[in-house]
Amino acid sequence: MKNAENAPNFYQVDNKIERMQGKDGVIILPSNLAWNKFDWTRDYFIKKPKQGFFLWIQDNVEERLNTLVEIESKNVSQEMTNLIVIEKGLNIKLSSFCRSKKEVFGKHFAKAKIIIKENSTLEFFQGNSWKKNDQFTANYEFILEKNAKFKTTITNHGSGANIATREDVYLLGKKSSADVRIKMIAEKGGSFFSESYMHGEDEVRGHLECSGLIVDNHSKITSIPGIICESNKAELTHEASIGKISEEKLMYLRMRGLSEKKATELIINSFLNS
Amino acid sequence: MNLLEIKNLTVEVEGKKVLDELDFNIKKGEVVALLGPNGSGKSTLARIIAGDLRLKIKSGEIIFNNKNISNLAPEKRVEEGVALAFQNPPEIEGLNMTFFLESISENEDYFKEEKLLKRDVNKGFSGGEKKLSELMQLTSLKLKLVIFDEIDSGLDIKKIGEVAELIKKYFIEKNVAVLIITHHGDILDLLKPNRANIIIDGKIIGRDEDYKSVLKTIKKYDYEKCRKCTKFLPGRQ
Repeated sequence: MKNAENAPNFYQVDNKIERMQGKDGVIILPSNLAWNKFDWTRDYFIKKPKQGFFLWIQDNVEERLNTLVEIESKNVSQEMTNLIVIEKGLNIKLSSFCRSKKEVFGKHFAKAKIIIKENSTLEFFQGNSWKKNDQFTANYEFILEKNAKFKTTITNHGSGANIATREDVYLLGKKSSADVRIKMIAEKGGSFFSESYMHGEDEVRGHLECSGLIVDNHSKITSIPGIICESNKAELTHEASIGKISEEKLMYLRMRGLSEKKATELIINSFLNS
Repeated sequence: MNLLEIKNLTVEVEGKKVLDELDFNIKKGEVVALLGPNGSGKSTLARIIAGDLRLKIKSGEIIFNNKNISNLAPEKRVEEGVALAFQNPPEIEGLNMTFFLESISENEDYFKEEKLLKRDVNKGFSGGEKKLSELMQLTSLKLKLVIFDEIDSGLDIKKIGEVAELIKKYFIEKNVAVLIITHHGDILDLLKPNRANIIIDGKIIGRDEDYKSVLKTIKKYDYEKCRKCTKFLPGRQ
């Protein structure tokens, strides 16, 4: 989170882009401008986007790239359509955060396509944190070409928010591989509906892990992980679990002098960090 | 003057009495041993003193430093100055040891086992490392009474010696009272408790100032026969 707050490459608050900073080998544009400027992006966007960012990575970047989209004002609705394209033979680290800063009755709809081209590797962290009465709907597609490698952790923290997400990881290219971990935390009456699918269409390897933590009795998580094999050479696995805060751990931390609230916070963070 | 005074304490777990009208006390700065067979109520007693709210007190009370702490939250008991070193502490993956210690520490000068500081709390720790983790945590708190639940279990003689030295340096020499729950005599020879108590079926059935004599009797007659010993009468303190 700190990286994103220090100097995000793309930073949007409510419906205004506050910062957009590319670098050598990295082009960042608002998605609607990318639609106008690069015809080929239309194959991915399908229709002209209203909002969102286009990130085109053409060369290796040493540091982690990051983006941050926030809702600060009440009743704001964001409709993001993002496209991230990583050219061939690169090794990229990227973090992306979306959140509301306080209780603002925010709406955030996100559609994103992430294309990892031949022989490239992407280490991707997506952190979403939404508060009471927020509505967050996201649909991510990850497309891996030949020998592309993808490792990701996607965390969704819903503190009273209504969240619906879908991730599809397409292992299209031979010897492409993915390690996908989806983490969900529901508290204060938060509700999750999460679908995550991994598609294998060649000699590929992939693992999908979905885990949820329900902090209280008023929250709900529905997690539907799936693997779709369209080749007898594809090796795909998945696992899913949803649990509550361990009383043993909670009591242990409280017996070290931490309040119940602080101990719960540490357990939630440890779940996200593990 | 008693630092800890437990009066007539009965605790039931799933309808079974685990502590049965138990009386027990520790004076300021005292080192006290508690010995007993498996299932005798040793760990329950340790947890109930430290404030494990999952255990319900049916009757009796726990007085600490002249204050009734029977219904006090565990974190408030730490504030009062009492804490427990777990026999089998839980592993908390994703919680860095250094960050955790910084979150709880009340003093700067505490024991640090460098090789554990970069790891997650108790995650993949060996038996010995778990004991050191507990010692790091407890030495970072400002305590008046520290309870060690089988801190010596699973350790070889050399490790027991190291652990005993740490207990002496950080607690006994600073006049912090120590309750040491154990099956073995080795650590008692190193810590030289002021008193030893025997607990069976949730009751203190005997106590004596000569811990060696208590150990000798247990070794000679085992715990069951100890129940009938007239040597260590409950009244002798």
